[in-house]
Amino acid sequence: MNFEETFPLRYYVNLGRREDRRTELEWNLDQVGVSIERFPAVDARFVRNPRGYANKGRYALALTIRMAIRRAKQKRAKALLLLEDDAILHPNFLELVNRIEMPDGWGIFYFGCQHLQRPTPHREGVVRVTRALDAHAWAIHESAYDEIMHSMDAARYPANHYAVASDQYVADLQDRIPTYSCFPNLAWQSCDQSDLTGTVYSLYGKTGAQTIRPQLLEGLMTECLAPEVEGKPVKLGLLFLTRGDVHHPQIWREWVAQSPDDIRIFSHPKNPAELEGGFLEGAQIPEQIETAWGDVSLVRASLALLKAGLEDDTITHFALVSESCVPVQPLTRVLQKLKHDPRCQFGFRDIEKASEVSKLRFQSTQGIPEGCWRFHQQWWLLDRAAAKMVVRNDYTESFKKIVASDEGYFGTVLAMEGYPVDDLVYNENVTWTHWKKLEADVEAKMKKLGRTGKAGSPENHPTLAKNHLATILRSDAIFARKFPPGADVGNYRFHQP
Amino acid sequence: MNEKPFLFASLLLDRPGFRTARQLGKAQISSLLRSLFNGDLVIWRNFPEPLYLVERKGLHELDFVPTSPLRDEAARVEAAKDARLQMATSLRDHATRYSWIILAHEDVIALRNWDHLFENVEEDILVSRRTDGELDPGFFAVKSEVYERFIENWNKWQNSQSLGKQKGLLAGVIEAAGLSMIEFERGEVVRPFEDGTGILDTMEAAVVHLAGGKPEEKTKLAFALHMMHTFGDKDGLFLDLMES
Repeated sequence: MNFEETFPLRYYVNLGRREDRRTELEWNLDQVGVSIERFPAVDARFVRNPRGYANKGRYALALTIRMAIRRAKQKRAKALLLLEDDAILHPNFLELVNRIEMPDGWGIFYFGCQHLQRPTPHREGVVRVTRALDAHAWAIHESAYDEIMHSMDAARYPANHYAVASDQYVADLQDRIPTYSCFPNLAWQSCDQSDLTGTVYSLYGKTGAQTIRPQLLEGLMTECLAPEVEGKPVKLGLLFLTRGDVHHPQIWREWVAQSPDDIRIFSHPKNPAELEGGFLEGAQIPEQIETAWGDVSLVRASLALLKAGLEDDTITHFALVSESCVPVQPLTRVLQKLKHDPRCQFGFRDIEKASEVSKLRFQSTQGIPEGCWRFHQQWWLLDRAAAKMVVRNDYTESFKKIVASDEGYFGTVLAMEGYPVDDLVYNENVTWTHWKKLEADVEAKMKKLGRTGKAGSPENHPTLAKNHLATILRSDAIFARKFPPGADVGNYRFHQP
Repeated sequence: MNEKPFLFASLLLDRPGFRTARQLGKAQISSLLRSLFNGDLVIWRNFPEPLYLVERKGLHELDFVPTSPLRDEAARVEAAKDARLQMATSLRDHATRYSWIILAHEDVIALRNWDHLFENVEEDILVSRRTDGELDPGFFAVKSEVYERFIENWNKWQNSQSLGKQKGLLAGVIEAAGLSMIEFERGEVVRPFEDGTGILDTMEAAVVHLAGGKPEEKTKLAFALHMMHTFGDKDGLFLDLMES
């Protein structure tokens, strides 16, 4: 859709005295490239009677919405978009909204909402609402103006009517007026002092997932994006991005043997000849990318592995591993864990918490909204829905100038595609790694260049030190690295039940 | 969002030996500058000492000599009526460079940025109403597109004995000019001395018009509100600085 054509009249409601929110929202709108006019909100201070609403604030909001709709009618606008001033739009809002094809005959459209009943998938990025609340970011089609205005006249309801807020009255219409919403949410509310309740709260996570009744939406992402695996048992696709064969084939064989039907191996070796007779023999994917250290080709090779894995429509999860990795949890336990907690897993940081090194690496990139940056290790575990989101658009050109772009590509692209990374991804490294600090002289040189941070390189472990042993056992990592051939890690039998 | 900036104009008229208008004017302009006023400010003053010894960008201070001596307060009020029209008329040639022309008395101060007050307004004039129901001539704004017509009718009104006189200046001129008007957002323009607006609502407003107060009351409250909004912070840093 064309955002501006679909929603020709766009207002955000704001009290004059909430300059803080106005400033914040206008900055957010400017960042996402959306132009929305202010519509003055009725101030509850001047309301005498709440007229059936829970309080004067709720009535004032309903009155404001009705006035905005009335204005839309006067202007003969075919649709009205309304934001509340505590709305936060997804950093890639415009791009994602423009991709949406609006459902025929829509009456109400939420850019983000709080579902009270499980919605049903409609098409990519859109679900059919069955019952939802909130009015921080929604649009009304002209066909629904009158009914919504009428519904908000609380005085016409019996005194003991359950609904006491405008969004509840609108929710009552959702079975009559075709109502849809973005899924995942592309707009949510900031955690701020509410003018309605006087309390500080938000019903949404940092990246927009609803935090009230989240169980209602469990599996909805899979239902929307990967219905082929819905209700199917966990099956893990292991994506080996390697130079040759794995360093510890015996460990891997024993691990796979624990549940061979629930796992499938895919391999992208730099030197295919080295697979002969090895653990990865026969698992090579057809697409071969010439890779180089620190280069975007590593991302491209990982994407090739993911795409090959996705062709098997029984695989529910994908993990990227290297030749120096070994599993540190029994496969049976991993499968059990994914059955009950099917979330993606990788440790990440956003731009605010990123190391100076990460920021320096990525700051030259253009076209990536700052709010979408997520920095992480190269190794990840993705569920099928997230995997499909990551491969649906190729952003590698935008990342090609970045050294070690594989340490940001997947999390960032997920965020750009609208996946609520911070709310739905288990933020722990899936592969345990010990980063060796830089030598003192190198660090001093880096400092001279103004580059500070904890840069280093992943340490090799020919023998596993006691302290590392403890951290592996304490971690939630499924794999660990780097173990060269002959390393003693197998002696600890982490991978065995 | 208004694409063109605003033009704000105010007349500062002090009787000999008095500094009320100067002090109010200083609080007024400082409050506008500190709240990031989007546009130019014009001051007509009848005292030689400039408000700012160091020039402020966008502020134009013009010397003005009243036609008759300001012997007492009544003479000052009477002189101000003509002088305000003269000042407003002088802005006619510049009006097209702006989106709105805001005309205010010297006892108006800003407690917040004003941009939002002028967004999405389709009417020609923005006004506020006094408790007696009259439109407040001490703070209103005219769209630049109709400014010429507004001034023309203001001049006619001023020189006529009959034209809408029973309605008061602003209502009379608006009616005579056939212009549309709308009130500023409720709660954003307050007159605490005149309509008894409480301290909390006064602190929440964007515009405080101190009409109705005695000169000393006005200067004190203008100072208090401006200092509170500009230098007040939750840690009390300014107080610490002053007392250190």
